[in-house]
Amino acid sequence: MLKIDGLCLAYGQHQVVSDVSFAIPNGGIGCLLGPSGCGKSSILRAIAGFERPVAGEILLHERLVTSNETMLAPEKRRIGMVFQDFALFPHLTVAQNVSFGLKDKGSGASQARVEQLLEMVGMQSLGKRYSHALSGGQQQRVALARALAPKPDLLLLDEPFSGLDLELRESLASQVRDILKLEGISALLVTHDQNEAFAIADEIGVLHQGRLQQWGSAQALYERPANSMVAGFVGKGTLLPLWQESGAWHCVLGGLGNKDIQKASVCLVRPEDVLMGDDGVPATIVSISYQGAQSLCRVALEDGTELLIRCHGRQFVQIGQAVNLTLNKTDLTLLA
Amino acid sequence: MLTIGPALVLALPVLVVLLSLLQPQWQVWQHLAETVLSDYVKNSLILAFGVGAGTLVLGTCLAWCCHHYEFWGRRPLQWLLLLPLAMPAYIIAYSYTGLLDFAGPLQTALREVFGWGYGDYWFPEIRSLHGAILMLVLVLYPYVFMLAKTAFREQSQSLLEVSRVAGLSPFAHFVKVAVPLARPAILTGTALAMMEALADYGTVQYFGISTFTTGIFRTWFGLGNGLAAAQLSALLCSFVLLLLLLERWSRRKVRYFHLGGQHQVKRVPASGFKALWLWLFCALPVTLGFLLPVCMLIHWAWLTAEGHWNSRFLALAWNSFSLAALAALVILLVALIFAYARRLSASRWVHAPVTLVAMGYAIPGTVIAVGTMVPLVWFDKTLDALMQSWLGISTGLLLSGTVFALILAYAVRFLAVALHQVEAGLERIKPSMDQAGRTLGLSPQGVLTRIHLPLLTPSLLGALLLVFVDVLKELPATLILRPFNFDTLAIRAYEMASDERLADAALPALTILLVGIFPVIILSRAIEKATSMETADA
Repeated sequence: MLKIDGLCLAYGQHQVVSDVSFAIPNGGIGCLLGPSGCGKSSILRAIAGFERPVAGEILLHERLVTSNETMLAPEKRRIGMVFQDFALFPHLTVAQNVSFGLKDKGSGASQARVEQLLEMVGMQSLGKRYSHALSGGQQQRVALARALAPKPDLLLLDEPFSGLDLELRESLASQVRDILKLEGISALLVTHDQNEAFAIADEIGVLHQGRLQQWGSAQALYERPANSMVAGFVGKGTLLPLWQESGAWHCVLGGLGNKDIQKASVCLVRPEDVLMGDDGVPATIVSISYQGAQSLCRVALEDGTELLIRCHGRQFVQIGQAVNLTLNKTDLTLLA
Repeated sequence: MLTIGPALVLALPVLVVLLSLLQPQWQVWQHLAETVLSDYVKNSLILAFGVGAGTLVLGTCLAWCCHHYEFWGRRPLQWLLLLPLAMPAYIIAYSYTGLLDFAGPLQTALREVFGWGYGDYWFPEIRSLHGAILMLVLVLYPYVFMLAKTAFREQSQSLLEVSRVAGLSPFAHFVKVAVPLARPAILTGTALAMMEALADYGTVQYFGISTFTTGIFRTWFGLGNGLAAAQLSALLCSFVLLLLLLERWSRRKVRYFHLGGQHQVKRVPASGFKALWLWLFCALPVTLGFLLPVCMLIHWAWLTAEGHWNSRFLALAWNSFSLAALAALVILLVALIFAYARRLSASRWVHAPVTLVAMGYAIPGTVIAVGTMVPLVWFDKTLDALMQSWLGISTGLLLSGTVFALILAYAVRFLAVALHQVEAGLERIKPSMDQAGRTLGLSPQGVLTRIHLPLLTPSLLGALLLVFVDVLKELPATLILRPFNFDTLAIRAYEMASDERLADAALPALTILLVGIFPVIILSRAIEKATSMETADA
């Protein structure tokens, strides 16, 4: 559906995106995840046709829309876009905003489409309102309905939830996923929030300093990060230094099972990989963040190394308590 | 590149004035220095600083009363306090001269009540430097009032609470916290009022005070030395430049001093004598700066209506309105080109020229007129001489003394007004709206007609109206540059007043004033709207 090949983007002398390639299948939902300023929004704007790349190609439905020679106008790409600031037209009502991209406005079919979409986003009674009389969440829904109305081939979402509060964000994210799947529309989302990415996307690309670090499912990113940047950005965890002893890898918490890897310098220890028990490496609890079903504790080893561990919410822990740590599993992710 | 050309044309008058310094007119300067130059400098400075101090104190105190207290009649007064903005300074000067004259209503009443005769009593002379300062303060304080009130409103309510908890009285809070925090806004307003005071021609000319503006006139028409007039203009510009720097500097500070937080204003209810005092204090500037002079004008207009309300007056009004409308349209068009060029390009070569010519509002009309006249006359003479020698025909005066010269001068002075409106309107159309339109199937032209046009229309109309009224009120540039025998309402009022026929000046003056009220209403509505939107957000 969407295919991006070797995309490079630059503003003047400043290269913001280097050699990015990925693809999204029909009906799939992709996500570009990365810290702010990593170039993810620029990629989105290039797909929409607002940026001309320095190099690379963009294909929509196997049709070349952007390359060195081709630059199809944004209005001819059959894409929908939801903007960070929603960009609703303040001179139009909600219903007029939603029908804006429809060809034959006023016809029965287009009116039915507007009503269907407003119902889908739960705004059926507010069609005659103007955008300034809506809350942030409501504006978000209208923006989504407006982008979906002309049945685009691909929907682009630029940090669509960043202006909303936390609770609303999570419920909206799963609603958006349901709507996209219902309409069968492929989508590409850009965000810096991994919870959002995990909630919506089938596949996620982690972007850092304009380069695609890894492209894969949420599980793949969490369990098999390609490098230490992805490991640090996705999920919580600690990178511990490694050394070799008689052909086997060791870290401060004990020996590891990974035998076939030749070159590595650190291993990724997720909080759930460590057990707190009666024997093992001695450590002291530094801080506790109680989260109900479980607690996230920061512990310090004797050499000063700090790491995060997860323990059951009912387990009694307190700051300053001496504990002993062992590894839960031995096939940790090793990284260069 | 698009902006450099038009910007250069608009910068031409000021450039000419500055370049005139390269050809010093020593003889004229020596003469001026021996006779009147020190008066020009002294009077202009006293006028500017007097008006600055007056507007600063009056505007700030009024703003605080309307911001801090709730009293009977506060809402209408807050609106009425803006009305003197509609009053051109020369018109208020004419009204007060008539009011306070020996034969005017006030002195006549005093004589009748106390049985005094001529020379029995002392009465302040309004046609003096002090009088001019008073006149200008009465019509210019709204600049400070408006900006200070906005600044006070943006101060968080909790600041006052912090002060009170720390043991400060409300008055101490006003002096020690509110005013220092609003200082950039107050100084911006004061600088604007001082620029207007330096630019004033009508009032000082009528009161017979020698300032730079009247001096430039006299040098040009009396001594017949255009170059020396331009050099005097350059000297005046250097004073203005200082004010402009002060204004720019404080505007930049406004941003730093802007504090977020809750904007909901909790006014302190005042009652009894306190409310009465507040009411009187706020009603006084409205009465003196608007109601009283308007009554005087209406009285005169009523007396003279028979002789003036005729086809000649209609022709006069038509001259004024058509000139103002044409100028407004041209200036709006230029502002649109500049605003879009700035929106579409990030290049410094596009932005800098526009920023530069947008400072024209600070240049006195007299200076712009001189700066426009000199190059246009030169152009006409050169072309005429060339045509005479080549083809033996005389082209005469092509540009100078035409509507073209007038509109060029107006554009230099009032472009900033239109540009500000258009850019404020464009700012509300976020780039993402353009992009949303494109992804929804609009071509670039479609974005312009279906998104920009409907959203910009109010700003465009506002710009037209503001420039229209400004042109209508403008006196010195029109006086110098107008085509032969081309009279406008402002010119007629000026001429009648100069002939000591104040009553005959009333009808044109009143017409200007009535039209001038419209933008003030729009302005106060815009402020009201901004306020109500903020409270809705909070």
